[in-house]
Amino acid sequence: MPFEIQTEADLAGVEAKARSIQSSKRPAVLSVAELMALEVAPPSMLIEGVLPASGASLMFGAPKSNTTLFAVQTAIAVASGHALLDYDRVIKPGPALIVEQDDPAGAASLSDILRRSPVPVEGIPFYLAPRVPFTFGLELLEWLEAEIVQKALRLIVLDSYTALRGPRTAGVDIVKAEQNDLTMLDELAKRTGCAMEIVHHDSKGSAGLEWSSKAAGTFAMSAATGAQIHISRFPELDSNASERLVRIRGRHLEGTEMVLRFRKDTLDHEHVLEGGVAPFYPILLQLQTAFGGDHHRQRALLPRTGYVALAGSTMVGYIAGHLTTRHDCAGEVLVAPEFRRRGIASTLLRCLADWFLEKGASRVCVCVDANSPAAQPFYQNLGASPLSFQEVLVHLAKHHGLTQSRSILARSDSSRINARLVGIATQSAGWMIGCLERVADGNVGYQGPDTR
Amino acid sequence: MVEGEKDVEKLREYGFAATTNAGGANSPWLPEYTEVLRGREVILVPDNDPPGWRRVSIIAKALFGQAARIRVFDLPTNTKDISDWFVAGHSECELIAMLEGVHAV
Repeated sequence: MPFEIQTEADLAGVEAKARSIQSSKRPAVLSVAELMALEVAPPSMLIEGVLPASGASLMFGAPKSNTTLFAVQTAIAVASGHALLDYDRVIKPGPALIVEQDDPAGAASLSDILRRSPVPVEGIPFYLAPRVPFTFGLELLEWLEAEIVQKALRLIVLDSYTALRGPRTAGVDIVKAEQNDLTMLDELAKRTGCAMEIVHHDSKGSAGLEWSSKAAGTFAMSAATGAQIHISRFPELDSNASERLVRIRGRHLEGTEMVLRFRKDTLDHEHVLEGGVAPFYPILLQLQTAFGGDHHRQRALLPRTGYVALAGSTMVGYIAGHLTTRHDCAGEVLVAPEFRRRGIASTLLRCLADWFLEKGASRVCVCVDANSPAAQPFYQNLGASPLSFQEVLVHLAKHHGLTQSRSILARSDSSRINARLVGIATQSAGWMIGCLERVADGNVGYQGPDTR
Repeated sequence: MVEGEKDVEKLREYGFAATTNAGGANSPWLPEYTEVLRGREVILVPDNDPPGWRRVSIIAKALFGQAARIRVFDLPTNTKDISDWFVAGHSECELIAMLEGVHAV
């Protein structure tokens, strides 16, 4: 019933009512039986292994790491049904919309990307909204929902979170505000069965953080989205290098890591390799160099050889060597940290030494990382003595190991190691050494024992 | 004065002059809102939940002594908001009759 406020006592009455009223929302508490009876829809994907079919995903990276371009590429893949990067299958092709708020020349650059796209784009349901008159809020949500329904959109790319964010008034709880922004987008996307990619940038000073914590803003940014896709450059490669490391993690998503290469001519990325080895791509490049034609170009001689240590189907170490005109031989060796101190490195070296002896070499030059406490004693125990500083090639190894290199075995063609396994040199409990031979034409990949 | 645009629209449909403030139940009540309502007869309709009542309690305090008259329409239990009340089968005439018959607590 209505009542009137005439006195201070009436006011106090309203206050008391505000304190005493119980929320009609009661938290639900479920038993095991009720939990088991829940029907859980299997998570479905829009792009296999990359993007969930509904809900918001955060796509972020440092400036100039091609975050927007990769987002556009996913939109082209979804709209055309053509596999992303010629590699990741689009499960539910359909219309895609890009909201370009970040780049004032957005329409021009997108037009350029489309014109150069190696994927045929004519007539595909790909839309661009260059600049919308909204920031996050009801208006934007209503407009997005209308677009999703009208165009039957499968994917919306919002470029970018920062550009679409409204001004924050003083005293606003930023964690709440960001969570609120992202949660509303996520809810809209889930309700309408549409995927939403929100483009964002790394925060300044996030260099030391684990990649999934790098998104600028609060933890709410990644907590409120179903999947996170992070794009970065390799600090080990020079600043013009076109390779990018993409790391994907999501609630119902098997984590993926892959290396992409930016192509200037077609303004897109090509797939280089995928798997746990991706973060170690710079080391792979060195391995490739060891088997390729560029290593010590003036001094390296053919033939070249190498050995890999395998634990099951995982490569846990390798050695590569060749004759040179400068010293008699050179070799490089690397063993994954968790497989060290089991004699793998010395066995690898012995295998290579046998090969050197067979080729008539009299001295072996090894490259030792001066910063590695284990490397020097290792070689000295095997009888090596340090060369002068100028003579020692300090490279490789660093402190990384090649781990989880399943992908090398499975997809050696894309990692372009121009070598193949020609035999098993030696075996031991838990690991074995296989012998690699350089392949002249460069197209045959290394084959592990499980793929032969 | 209701909570949210949906309720404003609903009341306007029935010919009432209705308004709300931006940002939902937890957004601050600004002095300029009080200015707009100075000397007017105001009927506060809280959403039937703790934030709704907290909001109305704050607005009532702000309007006390400023508005010509302040009434609170206390929705029945299990009625979420004024739209819900109409959905439950109540009419605008009923609302007017209830407000006319209002007396001090």
